[in-house]
Amino acid sequence: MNTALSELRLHAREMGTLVAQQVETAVRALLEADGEAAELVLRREQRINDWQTEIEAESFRLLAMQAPVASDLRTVLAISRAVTDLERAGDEAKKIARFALASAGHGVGGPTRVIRRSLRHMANLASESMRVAVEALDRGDVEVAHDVARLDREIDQEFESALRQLMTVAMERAPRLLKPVFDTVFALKSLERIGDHAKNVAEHVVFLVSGDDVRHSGKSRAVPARESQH
Amino acid sequence: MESADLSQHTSRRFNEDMERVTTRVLQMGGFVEQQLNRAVAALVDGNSALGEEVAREDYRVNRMEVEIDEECSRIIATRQPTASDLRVMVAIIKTITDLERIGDEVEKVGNIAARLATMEKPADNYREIRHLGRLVTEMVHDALHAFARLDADEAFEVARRDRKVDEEYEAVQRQSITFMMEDPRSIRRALEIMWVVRALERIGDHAKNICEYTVYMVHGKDIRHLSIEDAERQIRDFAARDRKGD
Repeated sequence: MNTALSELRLHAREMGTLVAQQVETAVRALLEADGEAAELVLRREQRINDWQTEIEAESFRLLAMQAPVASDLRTVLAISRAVTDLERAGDEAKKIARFALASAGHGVGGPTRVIRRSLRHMANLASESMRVAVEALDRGDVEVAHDVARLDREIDQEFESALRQLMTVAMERAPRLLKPVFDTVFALKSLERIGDHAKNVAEHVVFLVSGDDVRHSGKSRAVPARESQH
Repeated sequence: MESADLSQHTSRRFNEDMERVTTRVLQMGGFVEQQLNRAVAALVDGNSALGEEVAREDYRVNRMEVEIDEECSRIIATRQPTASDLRVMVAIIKTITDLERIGDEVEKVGNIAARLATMEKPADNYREIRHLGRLVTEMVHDALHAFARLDADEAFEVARRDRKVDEEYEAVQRQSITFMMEDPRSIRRALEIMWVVRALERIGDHAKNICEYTVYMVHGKDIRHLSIEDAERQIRDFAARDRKGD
């Protein structure tokens, strides 16, 4: 049982690390109009899907054959949930890569250039939060969950400020820029969501360790939190 | 003899547990559907109070998810279900995750509806959004219907509709951009509308996920990373082989 569990944790970590790489490569492809890098991300997406299938099958085998209880059961359930978030984060990286590939032929687009620093910063934060979250998942380290939440807030702030800049561009400059502006807005949005998924993974770690489900603790108040504006 | 009795006993208990959980999943689904309808209505009617109320009520969806999730963990731990029963449990846990995320998207629509209520309405009076809203609401409804009846054929049919949703989504996006080019002052509003359209498109994705879990429950096959056509073909071949085996 212990070996199987640590295998499972290790695999989730490897999958998360791959997702973090995908995020970095996709944004680099976008910022450098590098079509090959974008294609690499699209090819590697298959490996993320394979990981998901593999880890879920492993979890299922564990549940069916070993009937884990208490903290072992929580570990298996937390990892199954985390894998869903990792796969969705991978999907967002794929979307960025598609945009990068479609625009690579014409060089780096104007709107992308305007917020290039924000994009780079958000990509760094998003991939870091992903790495930190899966490391915490592997080690069962609750403390780290706070770091991930902090990173997520930073990503959200950067998102808001980059969005404002893009809206200014959209309103001031020629309307023909609108399409690329919105493609860039969606790339930003993808990064913001990757931060959310990392935060979810960190919340699964809290559940794994303490048995407390904290997923909605910020939102279950009578007055909804301000976090989901978009 | 005694152990056979015991296992029958356990399986009867398990079936009772399952029925209770399934009922709760369907209640959760029904509430999510209602929220979705109200969010779109709030937007179209410019009813900001309704939009706020929908957003505020999302905590109920979250609470239902946590409760059902805990119930499932308890069942897995105490009943130690067989492989095929376990498959059903896994499908339920995944289904409520998607329902909860639909709830999150609806919450966003509610918040945006509240913000947009004070602004001038677009010339087409949200015709496209109403249409897209209807498409995805029906998808959610029918996906849950297929889930409740363990109907893989219906699940496939519903999953196929997601392509239509994606096409509509692309069309509305292009249209919004055209509107903005004509009237740059509408950019703020158009951006908000784009988030709504995107939320609806995602709800279609989640409904499709629920259909995939139903297929998994019925056939034991994970079809998530296949195209719907490939998945259907594989399931048909699979079933044909099964029949030959009999």
